[in-house]
Amino acid sequence: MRIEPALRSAARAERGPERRLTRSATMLRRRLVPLALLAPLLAACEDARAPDLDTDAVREGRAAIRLYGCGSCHAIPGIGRADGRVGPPLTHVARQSYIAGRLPNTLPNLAAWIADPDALDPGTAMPDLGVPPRTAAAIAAYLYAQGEGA
Amino acid sequence: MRNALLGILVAALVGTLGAVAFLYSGLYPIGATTQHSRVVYAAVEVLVRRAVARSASAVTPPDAFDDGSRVEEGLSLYRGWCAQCHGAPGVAPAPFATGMNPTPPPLVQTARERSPAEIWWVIDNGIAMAGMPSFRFKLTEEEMWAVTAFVETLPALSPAAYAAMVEASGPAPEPSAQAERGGGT
Ligand code: HEC
Ligand code: HEC
Repeated sequence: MRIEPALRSAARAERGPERRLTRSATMLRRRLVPLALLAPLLAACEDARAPDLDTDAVREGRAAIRLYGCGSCHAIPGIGRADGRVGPPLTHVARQSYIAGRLPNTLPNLAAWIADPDALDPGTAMPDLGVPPRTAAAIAAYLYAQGEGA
Repeated sequence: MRNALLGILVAALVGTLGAVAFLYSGLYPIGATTQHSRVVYAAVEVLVRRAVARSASAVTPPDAFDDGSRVEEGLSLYRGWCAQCHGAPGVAPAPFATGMNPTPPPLVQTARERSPAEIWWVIDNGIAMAGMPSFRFKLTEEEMWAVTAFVETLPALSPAAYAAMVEASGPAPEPSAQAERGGGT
């Protein structure tokens, strides 16, 4: 099993400073609470747990996850409304041994699953959403970079 | 006491002015590509869930509506009117639907978590500002119960079983043809 080591460590390296940034942003926000009373419910701020991640692939993956509506079926860390309970939560994809209980967990396998699940597991309830291979690889990069075990 | 009242009044005034200024500022990111904060989603979800539950408490399903006799008609209506947005077991929604925000949810989850009356009410009324249309003048009440009966079968329906049902029931019906036959009033 070989998970694109370069990509993963790049993702990991970026997370240190991101976390610190997020924390100081949180503190700043606490001090601004009185001001924030006006529009905290309206403000469409990005989820605080979703730091603007490093590589282009990860960022593109995050955008693609929203636009393909993966969150209507899966809980996905760092994606606003991703709280679906149709499929398993994608909260520790990086640490799993298998994808869909079937494929060894490698970046190419994960990307292939996202692009066409039915080809790898005929009869699965996860539909073919028509994700192109390059976008699927970006989504896979995001899933590896986010959540537990990233 | 007086000062406190005055303070509250001033705060309310400033708050209102601020809210109006925010509305007019054009600052809120309204694109379907923007994610809103988790707080907004949680609040909207509670709002919709509670409002639907409350309104649906006045709805009573017809006797034995889920005895299986309506499922076939429900499947046909579902394929014509709903599957493009909500998909079906093992079947993706149409590409346009996954670009919607909120994304139309797979109804298997809805069937597990909501009552038939709530599902029927949503079909009848739609959900404002979410992209879920009202079918009141497109489908008859009976047809909406048939769709509801079909949706109720989803939690027990595998993708393979769904494919077999579709195979048995022939090509997807055209919604417009159904509209002429059904509601359309
Ligand atoms: C209609 C619901 C649905 C949608 C939409 C959907 N999935 Fe899935 N997904 C599932 C189901 C159900 C499974 C479990 C499949 C299995 O194990 O055979 C699954 C499994 C997975 C897995 C394997 C999880 C694990 O624990 O092994 C990954 C990764 C995944 N989906 C990613 C995605 C991504 C990325 C998208 C968006 C492009 C997406 N899914 C959209 C239903 C969905
Ligand atoms: C144009 C796309 C579209 C079509 C067509 C459509 N829906 Fe929806 N539907 C939506 C969207 C978007 C939502 C999500 C609303 C929200 O999140 O508040 C939704 C929500 C729902 C819900 C509530 C789901 C929940 O869990 O809260 C039900 C039930 C539902 N639709 C049933 C149907 C049925 C049955 C049909 C066919 C008669 C149908 N819809 C057709 C877009 C659509």
